[in-house]
Amino acid sequence: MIPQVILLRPQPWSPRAPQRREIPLPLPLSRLVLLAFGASLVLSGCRTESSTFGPAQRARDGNVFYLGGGSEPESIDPGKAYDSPGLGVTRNIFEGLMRYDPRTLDPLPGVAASYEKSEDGTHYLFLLRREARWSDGSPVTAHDFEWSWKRVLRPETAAQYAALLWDLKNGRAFAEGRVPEEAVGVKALDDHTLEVTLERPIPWFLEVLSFGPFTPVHRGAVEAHGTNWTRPENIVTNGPFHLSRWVISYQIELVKSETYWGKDEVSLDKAVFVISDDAHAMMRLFRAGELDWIGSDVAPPQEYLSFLKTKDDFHTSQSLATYYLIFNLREETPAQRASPLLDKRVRKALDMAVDKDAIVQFVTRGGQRAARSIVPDYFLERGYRPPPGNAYDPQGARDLLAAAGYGPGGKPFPVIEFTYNTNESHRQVAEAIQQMWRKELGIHVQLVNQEWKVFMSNRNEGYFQLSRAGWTGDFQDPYSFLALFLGDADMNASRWKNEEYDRLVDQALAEQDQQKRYELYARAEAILLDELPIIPIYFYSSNTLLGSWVGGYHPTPQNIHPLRDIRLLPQDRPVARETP
Amino acid sequence: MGRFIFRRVLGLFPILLVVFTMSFILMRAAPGGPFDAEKPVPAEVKRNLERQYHMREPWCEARFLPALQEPGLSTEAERQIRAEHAGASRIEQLCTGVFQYGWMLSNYVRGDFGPSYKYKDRSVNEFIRSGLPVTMQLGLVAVCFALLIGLGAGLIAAIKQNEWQDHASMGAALLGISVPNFVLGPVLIFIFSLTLLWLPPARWDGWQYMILPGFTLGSVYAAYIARLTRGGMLEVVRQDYIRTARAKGLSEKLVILRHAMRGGMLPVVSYLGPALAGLFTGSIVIERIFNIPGMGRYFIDAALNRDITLAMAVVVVNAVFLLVANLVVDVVLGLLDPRVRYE
Repeated sequence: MIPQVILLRPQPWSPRAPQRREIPLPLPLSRLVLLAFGASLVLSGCRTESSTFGPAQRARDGNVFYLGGGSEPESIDPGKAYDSPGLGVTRNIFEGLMRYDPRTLDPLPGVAASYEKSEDGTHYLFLLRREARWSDGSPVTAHDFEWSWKRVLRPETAAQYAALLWDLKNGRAFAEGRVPEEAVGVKALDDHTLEVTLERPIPWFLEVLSFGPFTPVHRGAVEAHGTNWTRPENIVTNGPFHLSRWVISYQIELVKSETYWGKDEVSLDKAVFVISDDAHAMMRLFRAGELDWIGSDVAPPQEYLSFLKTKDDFHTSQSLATYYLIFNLREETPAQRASPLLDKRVRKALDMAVDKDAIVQFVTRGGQRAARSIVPDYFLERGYRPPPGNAYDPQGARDLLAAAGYGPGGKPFPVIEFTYNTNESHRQVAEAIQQMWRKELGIHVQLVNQEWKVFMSNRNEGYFQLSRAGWTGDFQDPYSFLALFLGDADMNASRWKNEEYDRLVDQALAEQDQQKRYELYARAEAILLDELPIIPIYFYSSNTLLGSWVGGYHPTPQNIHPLRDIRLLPQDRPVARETP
Repeated sequence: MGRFIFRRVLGLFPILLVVFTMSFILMRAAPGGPFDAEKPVPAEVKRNLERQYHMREPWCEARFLPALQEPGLSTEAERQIRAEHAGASRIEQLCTGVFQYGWMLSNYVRGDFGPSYKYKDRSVNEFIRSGLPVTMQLGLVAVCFALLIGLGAGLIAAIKQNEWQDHASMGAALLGISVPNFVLGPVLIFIFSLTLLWLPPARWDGWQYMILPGFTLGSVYAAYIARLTRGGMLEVVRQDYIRTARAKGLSEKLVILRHAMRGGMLPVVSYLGPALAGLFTGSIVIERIFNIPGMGRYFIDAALNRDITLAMAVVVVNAVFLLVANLVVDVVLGLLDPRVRYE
């Protein structure tokens, strides 16, 4: 039992990167030490300029794709998977009614061959492929979907994404035990027809059908093995790949599924997720040619970015994510009621005094874009016209603050506390903002860093004054961001409430025409940016290292890259191998 | 001797119970819980999770705060209720804590560390079973490096006292003690993996993979052992029985290897107990840098994730390790040093 786990299958290790390249520093802490070591090495002439960070040619053999998998997945049960590494594995071994278009992530037919949608957008009829199969050979039926979706809703499953299925008719009521199972709006009419009824029209409903909790699980396997059903020896899958091996905190191996209906479109024989969330270790493995891609959950550390930008195997793309600050607008305690941040003019002044361009240019330096709105700039190309927001204007900010009664001749501005979760990059951003406010407005900010779980608990419970936040959209609709600030949203940490805003967002939801919906969203966002319960800082970008020999990879806003479409391109010439 | 070991083994259990209880209290007292996340899960789902993992006990709720049992209660409403009945809420929390403690303890008695709070498909036993052998292997390699280098350098330094060999090895030892392993690791990777291309930069797939992490982890201990060996040897060679051995006409080599070594090693042996346990915890950093699937990494990760069961299991396993290592050291000391008697 031990050898299986320790992986002592001795494999002769051979260096995979015969070329010598300019060598970056492995760890910032070791810089000084390295200077001494490095000087002699560099002087000995072992560096030639190379256009890539990793090997120029693939150093590994075989049609096996090696990628970074991030940290150990919490769960790869599609109903329960909640973290990004878990979902990253799940989406390649299970397939929902729809699947992701690798270029845009728009929905393509998956297990469903076709569908019909009612006029008002609350009623769907899906026709399933007859050739869709589980890995044990049995057909994937509409009953599988019905059972799996209800399983996610069931309280005893305790699925953390269950709320996504509350949009099914009576989904929430069933989850809370108020209606029987039969009342839920998902029903298998026969083996190949699934009828879905929604509580309200959801414009992105087809898109989320590709997502974890909406993919089917095999009832027999789940019932027979309990939580152990996700082990390689028990699991039954229906996606393009099948789980063949899972070594805790080390690697997860997927093999091409032979029962998948579209197996002719799958190019890879196998994919190996190398588990680690240590960005430095992953970079070294990539550099040594052991990884084809560092994966979507690990990004090169910030201090390398300016060096990596010059390399061909470094890629930057827009993310569907925004970095912002939240004001706590609760008025429960006397201290909260006395907070200067309750004054809209103060919040606006604070926003106007932050030079966001300087932050992305000099602090984060990883291709982020300054943000004046909460809805990411990705939606511009989809036709969203965001409200202008507040431009950088220190003088205007000072005037506003004076109008609110602070500054020279007015009340002294109390010290405000800015909380962020412990992280080097967040600290730098916080310090930059602290500096800007002190310089432009004379406001003193105390920075408080908290370890992640403490930070999250305090923010959700409202124990903060000003807090850092980041949000990644779950689907490609501005609603994913605007819903954060609805009056009754759990995630509305500022407790800001505006009826007109709620009304506009709700109205947009019922609007089937995308342009008209976007206009309503923009009107709602204009209210948000006028009231400013938050300050948008920047839009995230995703940075990655990818071998030049990888095909079928497209930059996508949610950083989802289905392995179904990845292929290893033939190399120009055989790779020269050096034996030590 | 048999009785001595038996008594010591019996003595382990109360110590382990204390370790278990202390780490339980600390984990409970830490702010934030395992199910706090950026996207807060709905109140109902979170309650279900907490019930499954004994963070919430229906019996305690019913007894002390029945208002909490209303279906569809929002997080906000729960906070309100708890604020209004602060006293009852504290008692309810205490009651839940006692239940959870009992649940975990009864699991431990059966040799089960319980389910992981973070990794929902896995039990903690699986993490220990997969991580412990790797960490032990790594520790073993590191001890070999440490002993080989440390004893060698220490002996040379002692024999050639105040000559250049002495200064060189003690200088190296000073460097080894001062350079932290999170600096040494990347430097070695940089030289041997990325520049010379001799050894792999990370992972755990065969003997080549063990050299760099083993050396990095062992280096600090090698340095200490070198200094201890030198000190011990220098003290011993001035003893009467060494003079006797020399007077008998034994060769210098025999005197050092047979007589002096035995006494000179004593400080090293007593150091090895805590050192072994230190290797275990020292692997936290090494496992990260070299991407090794051991269990050292859970010391930090599990605590940060508030994965109570996993964090406690790692602490308890480490405590067992430390206690057993110390016991072994005491036994070995007795074998080496005729002055030690077991009572």
